[in-house]
Amino acid sequence: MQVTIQYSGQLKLAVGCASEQLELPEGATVDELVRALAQRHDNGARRFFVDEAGNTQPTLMLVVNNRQVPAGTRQTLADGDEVMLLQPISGG
Amino acid sequence: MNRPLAPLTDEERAIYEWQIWVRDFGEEGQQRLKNASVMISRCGGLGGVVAYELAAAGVGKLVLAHGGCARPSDLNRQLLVTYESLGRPRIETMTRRLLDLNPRLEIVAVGENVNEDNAARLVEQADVVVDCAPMFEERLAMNRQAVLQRKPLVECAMFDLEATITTVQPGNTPCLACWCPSVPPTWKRQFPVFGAVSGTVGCLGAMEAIKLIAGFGQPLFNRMLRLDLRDMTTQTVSLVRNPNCAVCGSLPRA
Ligand SMILES: [Zn+2]
Repeated sequence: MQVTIQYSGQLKLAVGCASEQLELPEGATVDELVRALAQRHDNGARRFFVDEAGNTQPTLMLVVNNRQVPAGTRQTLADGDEVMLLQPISGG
Repeated sequence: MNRPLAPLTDEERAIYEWQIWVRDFGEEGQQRLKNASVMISRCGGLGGVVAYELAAAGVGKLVLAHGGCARPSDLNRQLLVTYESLGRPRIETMTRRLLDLNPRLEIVAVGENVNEDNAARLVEQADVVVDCAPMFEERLAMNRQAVLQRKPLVECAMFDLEATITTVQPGNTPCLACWCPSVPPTWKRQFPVFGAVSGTVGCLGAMEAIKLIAGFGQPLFNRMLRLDLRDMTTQTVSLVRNPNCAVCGSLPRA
């Protein structure tokens, strides 16, 4: 199945694109998606996706079809899903 | 906010005439603003515009926290800072600029940024908090106190030409820590942004505060509005409370 990834903020600059498509095995979860992205962007952007143990960064907001997926939720993805990855931003 | 409301003077009725005409707001809404207090964490590019709009709208009291002295790199977005005030404490210029606009305004000016030690006292003085700080340490301290004291908190943020805004109502909506439990390890203190971006989010934040105080419209509860001014697109993300949130997870619904 294929999902569309959209990046925001710092993440967009770190991976070098605003969006991309990713082929995933049927029934893949959001955490599996994040690990696949960490691997794909291993040079430079890895720490945006996963912590040192290889788990999803707790501050990475995952949004599937405009709905936030809370950290630790085992949500599976479906073909055609749009996944937005939001890095928290701030003021100043 | 159930205390008796001080009435408007004739001068105030004249000044706020155009907004008193707003549907669902009216003279009672204006009275609520007059009797309300808003705490703004940092009055820079973002919070300075929140403060200016709230001063213009006739909010009675502003509690402002902002440390440090004005620097040249403030001037592209920190509209309360002036060229003349470079090198001087920002909070002094900010206070003066706001009183120039609205001399009836009561200002509690604190020349330091929010931290774990002062957050409780600052939030205690406010009915609504607007968080515009750059450091996540400040934002998380402010969020913790807003949740503890059950005060609504408007979360405004920006980066490059992007912006996000959501409003926390402790117990009923996710708090900041529900989706940002710690300082993001990749965050940098200085980042690209235009003053027109901080000003846009600042105006949205001020509107949220006005609606919360006057009790009309639909604030951004359980929703995050995302703007990308580069291509002028908007997106509304549904937010979910994290039952394991260390800050609000055990808070019952209000
Ligand atoms: Zn929370």
